[in-house]
This record gives sequence, C-alpha cells and structure tokens, in this order.
Amino acid sequence: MGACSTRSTRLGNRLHTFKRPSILPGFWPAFGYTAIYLSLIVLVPLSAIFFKTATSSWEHIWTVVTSPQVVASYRLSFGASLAAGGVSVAVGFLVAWVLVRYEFPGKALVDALVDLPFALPTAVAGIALTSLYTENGWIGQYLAPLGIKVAFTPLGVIVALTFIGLPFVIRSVQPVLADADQELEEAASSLGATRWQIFTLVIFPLIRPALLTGFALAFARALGEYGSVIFIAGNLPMKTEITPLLIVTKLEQYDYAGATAIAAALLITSFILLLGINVLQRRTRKFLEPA
Amino acid sequence: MSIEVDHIRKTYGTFEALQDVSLRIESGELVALLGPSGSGKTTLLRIIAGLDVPDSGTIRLNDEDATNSKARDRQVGFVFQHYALFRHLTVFENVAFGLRLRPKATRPSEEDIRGRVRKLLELIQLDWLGDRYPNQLSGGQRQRVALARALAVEPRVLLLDEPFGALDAKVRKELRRWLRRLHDELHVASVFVTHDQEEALEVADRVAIMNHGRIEQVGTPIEVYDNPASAFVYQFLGDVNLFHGRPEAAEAAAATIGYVRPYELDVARHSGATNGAVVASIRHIASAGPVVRLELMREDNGSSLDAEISRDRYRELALSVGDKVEVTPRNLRTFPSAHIS
Repeated sequence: MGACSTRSTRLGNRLHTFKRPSILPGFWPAFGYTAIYLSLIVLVPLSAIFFKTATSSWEHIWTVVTSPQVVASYRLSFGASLAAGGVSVAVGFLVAWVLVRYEFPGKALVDALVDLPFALPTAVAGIALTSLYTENGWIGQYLAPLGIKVAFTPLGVIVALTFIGLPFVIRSVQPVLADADQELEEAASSLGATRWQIFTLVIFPLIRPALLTGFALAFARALGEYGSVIFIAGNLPMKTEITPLLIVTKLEQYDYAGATAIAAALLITSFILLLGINVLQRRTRKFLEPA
Repeated sequence: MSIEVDHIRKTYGTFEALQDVSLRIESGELVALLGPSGSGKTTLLRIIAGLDVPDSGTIRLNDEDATNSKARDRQVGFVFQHYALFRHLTVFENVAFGLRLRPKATRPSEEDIRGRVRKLLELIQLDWLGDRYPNQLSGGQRQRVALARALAVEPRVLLLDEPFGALDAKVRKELRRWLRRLHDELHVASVFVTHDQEEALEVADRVAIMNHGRIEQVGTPIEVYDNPASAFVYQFLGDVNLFHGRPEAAEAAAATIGYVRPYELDVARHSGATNGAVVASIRHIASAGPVVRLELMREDNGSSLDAEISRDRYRELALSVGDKVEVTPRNLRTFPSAHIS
C-alpha cells in the first residue's frame, strides 16, 4: 500500500506541481524568497550590464572586446585564475588534510588563520605580497638570483589569486574529509590496497566533488579579483593587465558601454566555465543519489 | 589456515584493552568472541587483522609470525560492523575492488574478475543489484555485499566485527545461519565478534568469552554453557537467579552465592508447610511465547526471582498474580570467586 500510494502522489505531483510533500512547511515562502533574492541581487544588476552594453553599436562592442589589449587581458585573467584555482586545490587539499587528520599544538590558531584572506582588504594583501616578492623583498631577494621574478609578472598575479582562493578550497574539502570514515581506509587496506591506492581509489573519489566546488569558487573569485592583483601585477599593457583592470580603466575614460561590453564578455565566459564545472561535479556525485 | 594469538597485550593510555590473551583457532573453525562492550573483543579482532598493533605478544597466521606484517599482506577478509562499503562505487565494483587493485602480474583478467564477482553476487543472492550504489541498499544487503567484497580476494582468514549488530532481529537470524553454511563451504578460519550470546552459541564451533581484556573461557557452546568456568561466564550466557547463602545449607559459607537459570526452578503451589523450599509470590506473568515467564518475589528477603515453566505446567498450576508458590532450584551452581563483575 505504502509504495503504491507514494508512487501515485509522486506522479500526481509531477503532473500538477513540483512541490513535494515534506515534514517542514514553508515551500512557497522559501521558494518565493529565493526567486526574489536571485532577481533583485543577482539577475537585475547582471542584466543591467547587458542593457548598458546594448546602448552601443555592435561594431563598437566588437572592436572593444576583441582589441589586442583586451584579448591579452583575457588570456592573463583566465589563465592565471585557472592556474591559481589549480594551485589552491593542491595546496588547499594538503592544508585541509593536515587540519583534519593530525593533532598538533596551535591547530585552532592555524584553523582560524585560514579564513584571514576573506577578512583582509584585498588591497592590503596586494601591497603586502608585492613588498614581499619585489627583487629586494623578503622572499623576492632569494628568488631573484634564481632568475625567478614574481612581482610585476603573470606569476605574481597567480600568487595573489592563490592567496585569495585558498580558503575556498580548504573550507570546501575540510568537512568532507572529516566525514570520511577511517574504516573505509582500513577496509581497503585489508583488501590489499597500498597507501597510494587507498588515496587514489578511496579518499580522492570521496572528496572529488568538494575539490571541484572549491576549485569553482576559487576560480570565480580569482576572475573578479581586483584589489590584490593590481599592486603585484604592475599592469604592463599586453603583459600583466587583468581584465577587471581594463574595465576600471574604461570607466575612468567614461567609456561605460565599452566597460560593460568587456564585463559581459567576462561574465558569459565564466558562466559557461562554471556551468561546466557544475555538470562535472554533479557527475562525480552520482553515488549520492537515492534509488 | 590457523590463527594463533600468543600472549597479546594492548593498552590505550591507562586502559588495558587486552591483558595477556592467548587463543588458537584451527583452519576450518568458526570461533565467536563473545563479551560485553569494552571487553576487548574488537581490539583482538583488529590486531589479528593487522589494523591495530599489539604492545607485546605474537600473532601467527599459518604458524608464521605475522605480528609485524601489514594488513594488506595478511590475506585477511575483514567485515566491519557498519559495512564500510565504498559509496562511490557500485555494488559490483565494491566486490571487484580487491581484485582490481592487484599488481598486473597477479591480477586476474577482466573477464575473470567479472566472472568471480558475478559468482559472489549470486552467492549472496544479490546478483540483480550489481549496478546499484551502497546507499540504495538495505542494511542486510549492505552487510552481504561487505562480506562478498571480503571474500573476493580469497582470504585465508575471515574476521567479522559484530557483523549483524546493526540489523533487525529477523534478518540477523537469517544471516547468521547463512554465514554458518558459507563458512562450511569455504574452509577458512573465521572469527566473529558478538555481544549476543544466542548468536555465538548457535553459530560458532567454539566460543571465547571475554571480560575486562581477558578470555574467561574457551570451549564448544555446550561446554561453556553446561560447565561455565566462572560466574561471569554463567551470567553472560543466559538469564540467572541469585540465591544468597542460606544458613540451613550447612556446608555453604555465608558469603556463597548460588546461581540458577530461570528454567531450572521448580515451581509448585505453596502448601503452607515449611519444607525448606523458598516461598515467593507472583508479581507478574508473561504467558505469551513458548514458555511462561514468572516474576517472583521471595517472601523471606524480598529479592526477586525469574522462573520459566512450560505452558502445560502453567495451566496445570492455574497461577495468577499474587499467588504464593514454592520454588526449588533443580541445579544450583556455586563458583569459587562468586562475584559477578
């Protein structure tokens, strides 16, 4: 009887409405609020970008978004953001692993430090990183003899963006790692798995969705980052100009349509990339779906 | 393959989980480690599997010292109480896991792996669930998958940690009989941990009763049940009534405690005469089930007694709550160290 009635109500629901019976009330207020919030805070401002862009001619838009300087900035912005996201995933996973798996004095302090990049004004971070990595800075003076220049190069941009993106990965991975049952590793080990196999075949698949989430967040944040990057990048045209900087430059020249055109190009591309990551993430989470 | 546990000790901080435990399990034997929680039975199982390291003592597998060998080299199948299935893998891939991760030289061909997994899934009667994920299965199904996964690597020893602990009573009963049949087909040494004495006595060839990090007694179910070595073993294997030393029993010291099972009490209507029997009144009668359980209160010292009588006897006596009865223990046991811990 139970199965039969569930099936018929489910079917009925699919036919009439997408609301499902639930213990907690408040579907419509919650859903309505979500829709209004998304519209007012996200969709309306974003669509304003496209409306503003549309005030200009297609020809103007096209010349702006494909001008060599802007294209070079796309390359830097997307390249550096992807690289920073990648580095954040590797380093962030390591930090999360240490924070979850090991006990050491000062652990609570380290845990709190992780969030600091969230709170720090990004310009402060940018200035601090720049002074550290210039040729006579604390770290830069040791890298210079090796021929590695960080400040005022694309590498500097990656460093700044990693600094900003790292907490996203750590905070995404940490709870999932903490939830991963140690018995799984023991089970794998008694089945004959080496440590490396335990990591690649058991632990990694479990945290892969969280790593992808962290990567998407870090990448998205890095793409829009402005404050910390402009100091360490040096902003050399065609070399170390990030796209957000060009948008600000256009604004300062009162070329609003040009600025929004670049913003629109940036938005569309990052939306496609994030959508791709989301689809990928959904695929890695297939095992969590009920029957 | 035999398992030999030789003078194993293990402490966690100040807690002595295992105090000098020795046990030998022959090939083909199914042994139950029975004891209350905290008695060290799971610790012992984990040490045999190589998941924990003993402080001192030796583990021998097939008469070879395995104390320092890693879990993955021991060829031990371990089944966890909470299954520990890989939830990102399908049932089929869970079972195939141990075969797939072998180095190329010893790994069976893909065809072989598929064949073996399919055979195992048939064995656990879940061949129709191969492409489901673990969180789409019921508890009993998950535990069977965990067992199949452990069996896939053809372990020399099968270790099960409270394998049926998280299942409901009916599934548990089914699965333990199934485990017994399976064990008889496999000819490995199996050890399973349980705190359910009924399960241990029904399934195991031998039962090791553990308490406070020691093995109190090892023997066949009949041996330990009929000749318990200590008061602890006696009370752990079944319900028990205590008779504190009675002055009229001349040879018994005042501190002696007699133990008797509820079904070893003869119950008769109180005749009025004091012929040495214990007089008690009935406080509660549970008459549903194969036997009738009487909850009695002794008239002389107010302590309570449980008695089990057959339904026929119950009808014959026509007892009701409040009636006075005479209780005579048929089989009163005493132990040297008479304290139940």
